[in-house]
Formats: sequence, C-alpha cells, structure tokens
Amino acid sequence: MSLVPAVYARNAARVGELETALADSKIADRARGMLADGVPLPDAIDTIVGHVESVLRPSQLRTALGQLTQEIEQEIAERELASRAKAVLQSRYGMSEDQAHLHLRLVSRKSRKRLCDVARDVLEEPLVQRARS
Amino acid sequence: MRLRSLQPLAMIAAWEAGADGFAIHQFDAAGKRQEKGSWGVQPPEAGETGFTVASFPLRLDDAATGVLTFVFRGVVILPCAQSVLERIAAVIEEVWAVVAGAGRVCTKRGSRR
Repeated sequence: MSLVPAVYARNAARVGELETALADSKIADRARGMLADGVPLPDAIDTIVGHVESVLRPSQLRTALGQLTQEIEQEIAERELASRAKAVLQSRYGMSEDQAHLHLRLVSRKSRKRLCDVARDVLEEPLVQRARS
Repeated sequence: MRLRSLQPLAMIAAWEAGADGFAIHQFDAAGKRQEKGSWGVQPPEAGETGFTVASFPLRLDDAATGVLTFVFRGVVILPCAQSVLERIAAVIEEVWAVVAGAGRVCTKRGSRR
C-alpha cells in the first residue's frame, strides 16, 4: 500500500505544529515588547487583541488545505454514490460493472447532469416506485 | 507544546486591570492543576480573606482544560477592570485552544510511532 497518506498526515501535522509555534512566538514577542516599554500604552488592550486576531487569522496555506480537504471529501462521497448506483443497476438490470458505469456516463452526458446526480436519481428510483404503489 | 505567549498576555491584562497577581493552570488527565505561569499574588487558599479573584475557564472543544485566575487585593473588582480581563481572557482562550489543539495532534502523532 502507498505510504502517501502517511506522508501527507505527517507533513500536515508538522505544518500545523510549526504554524502554531510561529503564531505563539509572534504573540509572545509583541506582548513582551509592550511590557518592556515599561509604560502602559493607552490602547494596550486594543493593540494586543488586534495583534492576536491578525496572527490567528487563517493563513493562505490553511485555507488552501481546507479547500483541498473539502474537494477530496466531496469526490469520495460522489464516487461512493456512483458505486452504490452501479450496484443497483447491476442487480436490477443484470448489467456488468462496466455496463453500469457506461450507462451512468451516457445518461449524464445526455441529460447534462453531473454523474453523481444521475447516480442519486438511480438510488432514489425504488423509493419513488414504492411511493407510487 | 510550550505556551510562550500566555504569560505576557496575562501580564498585560493584569497591568491594565490593576490586578495584583495571576495564575494560569492546566488540568491534567486526572483533573489536577498544573501551573503554566504566574505572577505576583497567588490565588488565595480556601478560607483566606482580603482577596477577590476573577477566574476564566480555558476551553478546548468546549471542555475546560485550564483556568486563568486574576487576583486583586480587596473585595471589589471595578467594572472597567472586569471588562479588560474579559477581553484579554477571550484572546488568551483563543491562543490556548490553538496551541493546545496543535499539541494534542503532536502527541497523537508521537504516540503512533
């Protein structure tokens, strides 16, 4: 089995760890700097609250990782739907897996619907029939 | 993971609010308090009088995993001081959640090796 997921997990955890350490260090340095001045600033609380909020704001990397995660989760969910729809077509119409896959793709192309939506239609079909009878 | 920023943040809050001391405690697995930072007058023991404390839970995933306590000599905390403490406590809790959350991921990762 590929070790790619383990490498991803290790790198993602390390990035998180480093980003957190960096944020902690930035906040600590700023707060220490304010304390080192010896004289309380008139807007010390506003300044430090604003600084912490800006440091903790999601970075571009974090946003991109979040987006990538969402895309992969969606693709997995769509593949799962297609797989279940193929199984239904195989058992209902005696299609082979290849035929079921081709059927889903053809209907998708003809109806200009996404393959996962066609798969959802297939899965919901028996419920409609049962509701009619 | 080390929490470098909590002590100076709490220090600014104490300074601005006129507190006489503060303590930051983390709860271990058994619920016992472990000190993570402190300054000045320490939170009074049960029965000790003449002090007023303002405590703020430090939560991670809705569970209190630590507590931040400011100590004032006397019996009253002025509303303006309370407001300062509340603002900075919210920020400290945010930092706490981020750092403790990352620490938890590192611990899990380490335990799998």
